[in-house]
Amino acid sequence: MDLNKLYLHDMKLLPLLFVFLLSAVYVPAFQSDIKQDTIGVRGNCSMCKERIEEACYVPGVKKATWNARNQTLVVIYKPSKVSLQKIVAQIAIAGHDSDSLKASDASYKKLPDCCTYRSKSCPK
Amino acid sequence: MFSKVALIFSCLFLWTSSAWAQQDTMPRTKTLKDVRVRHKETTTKIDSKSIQQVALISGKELLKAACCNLSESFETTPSIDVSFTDAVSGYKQIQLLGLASANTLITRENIPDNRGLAAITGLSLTPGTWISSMQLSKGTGSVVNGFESLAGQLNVEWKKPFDNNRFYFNAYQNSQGRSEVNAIWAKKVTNKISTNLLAHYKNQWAKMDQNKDGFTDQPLGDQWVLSNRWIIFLQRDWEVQVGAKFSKIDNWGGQLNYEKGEDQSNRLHWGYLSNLQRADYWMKIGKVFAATPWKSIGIQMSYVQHDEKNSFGLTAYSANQRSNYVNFIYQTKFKTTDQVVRMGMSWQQDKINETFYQTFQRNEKVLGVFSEATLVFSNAWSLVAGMRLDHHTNYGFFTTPRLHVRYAPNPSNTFRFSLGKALRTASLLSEQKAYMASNRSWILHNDAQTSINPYGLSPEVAWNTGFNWNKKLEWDYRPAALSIECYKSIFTQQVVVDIEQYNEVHLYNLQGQSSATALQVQLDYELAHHLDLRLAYKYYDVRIDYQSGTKQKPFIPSNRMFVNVAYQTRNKIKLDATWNWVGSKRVPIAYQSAAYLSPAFAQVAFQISKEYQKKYEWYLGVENALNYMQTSAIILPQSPFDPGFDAALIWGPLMGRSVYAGFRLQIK
Repeated sequence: MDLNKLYLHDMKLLPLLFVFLLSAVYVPAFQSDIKQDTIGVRGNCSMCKERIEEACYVPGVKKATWNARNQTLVVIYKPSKVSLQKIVAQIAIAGHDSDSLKASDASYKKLPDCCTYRSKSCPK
Repeated sequence: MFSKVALIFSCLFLWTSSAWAQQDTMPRTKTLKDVRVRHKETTTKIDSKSIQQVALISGKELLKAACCNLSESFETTPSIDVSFTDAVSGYKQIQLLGLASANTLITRENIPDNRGLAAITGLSLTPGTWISSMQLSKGTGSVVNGFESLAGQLNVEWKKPFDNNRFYFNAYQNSQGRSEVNAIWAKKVTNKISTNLLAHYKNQWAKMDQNKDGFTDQPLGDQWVLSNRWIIFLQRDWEVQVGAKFSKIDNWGGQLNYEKGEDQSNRLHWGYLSNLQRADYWMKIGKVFAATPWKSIGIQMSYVQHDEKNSFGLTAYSANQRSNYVNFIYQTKFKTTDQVVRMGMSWQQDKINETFYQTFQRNEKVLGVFSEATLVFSNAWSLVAGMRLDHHTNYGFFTTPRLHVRYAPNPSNTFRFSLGKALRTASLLSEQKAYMASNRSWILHNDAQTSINPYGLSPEVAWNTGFNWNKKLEWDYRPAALSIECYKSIFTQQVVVDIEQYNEVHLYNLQGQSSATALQVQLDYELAHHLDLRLAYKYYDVRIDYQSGTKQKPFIPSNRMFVNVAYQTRNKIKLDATWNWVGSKRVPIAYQSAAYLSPAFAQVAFQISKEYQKKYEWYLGVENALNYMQTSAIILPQSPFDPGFDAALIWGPLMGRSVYAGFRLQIK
């Protein structure tokens, strides 16, 4: 075998990889069952942001972004899989009040001191 | 002597820290009114703002693998290839852009580390648990850090004494008889003075021969590394850092029935012995002018003392190195802060004595000046242009121009271009130590005694150019990042290591051409919430004009594929799986074996870890889960004193499946 011209024999795997990459691009692109809602959620700091957003990610939720300044949460989800009430309930369990549901005192008390948004606000 | 110094040093640390703690009358730290913006952090990301292509590898990324030291920290980083150097020493070497680790400048908080004799061994002297993050830049680096970095620069940031972790402890055990302990104590002595003491101990106590060649796969023995550093904030924004690191390796291996220290002259059992001691001292003084934050001055100094003794069967190699380094950097602006210039002066001296059949001595002194301008024209266009002029005792004056251009037409697309020249002296014997684990004759084509150059050979001079494109995407509301990179290195002068004849190593100056082309495509995508996927493909074409003709450099796979999946459950259990496919490599001729192409192989690794209260964490993992090994890795293992014996023709994993478990404790 001519060793100077070697190595091209396993290049045939390359197209396979690109097919794999492309499939990742196109498969999820066709979805119509998507809804976006904006709701008010109370919180203070970056820890709250992480907690609120983390609480939202139940099956069916695509993206959750909480904004501390506006005290709003933008949530993108599949209505066929999950309802807004369910998401709001998760936020309440995590200890955060939203427009439509107040967190129970028990949940609220579990928050660290910095995140007690009902009594104080974090330094902005 | 060496260990005594270290002991005194550590005692001194404990004494001073406790003494200062008692007189801690400084006011208590006030809670700073800061707003921390915390994104969902990816463990590795490309900084889209930086002009150079810099991949930030966080400490979290390092936790994904068994990660015992720097050479083993890249299992989840596709840019860097890791492979065994030979079948007896247990050392691993890294490769970037298809070029050996010596072509990558490794810096410890921007002070050059692992130069000279430590090109390969030095990687195992940085314990992974000490690292807080790394920045990997490809292509020639900044002129501020010297003229050497051809393939890239890897800057390693250590855990800082002033961050909030007072104590860190880690213990690790694997099924192949390797135990490790790491501990870090940090102390804020006052608001302005902080220190940490870092300790690492590793012991390989089980004789393992998983690939059944009659040789221990990993040498037995122990290694410890100890470091202490102080960071002091002085008045008027001056900052001082002083540190020292002491390392010691004591290893032995070879044939299974060889016992440490056994006389080799009766040719009974082939043995490997290695003893290494190294001390690094450094100091950094810097000032950022508070009123004019674009203005700063800094000086970095380091001193290295490295002594090692090795024997590979009947072959002995001993070496010592004394290096000192000073780098003075001044930064200011031209007109606006968008036009920043850095300039300075550097001094580097490497005094290296080696004994390998004969003595090789060199005393390289390099004095240089440099200047680098960073120009930001707009949000889209920016560049860094740098130039160095150095004077080397043997090579005279030489220039090192470098250029980095960034173009980001919109926030989701970034294009980068780099071009630069690099020069370095190949520390031939220490870099090619693997071939000492063979009975090859070493043939130096130039006369080391009459020529003024190290080993009588030319320095390695090369140009590197690179282009890369980073694209940020959002698929199905989740972020993805695609990067395509292409780099080419062309050597104008090179020291060719020619092993194309089975019982000889030829070392000569390049006559003709030598180049390395590297292409990498990487995709990172969050498949679902907390489920991250990383795919990478790499292509290498590294060819050298040998005396016998143009050939691919041996042991470089032309294709590599990589898949990593990381998942975190709601109760913070982290799962990580890596599939690493390595294409075939060219294996040169050996005794009674023609040159051949090694088979492609895959390595799979898993890890599971769980954190409790941000304080404790345990982890459990499997490496090389498919138990793939290069069998008959050693040529003539049954008669290691015969001329055909060779333990350095390594293309695959030498160790089989390994199960490991570990524990981490972090006290704030």
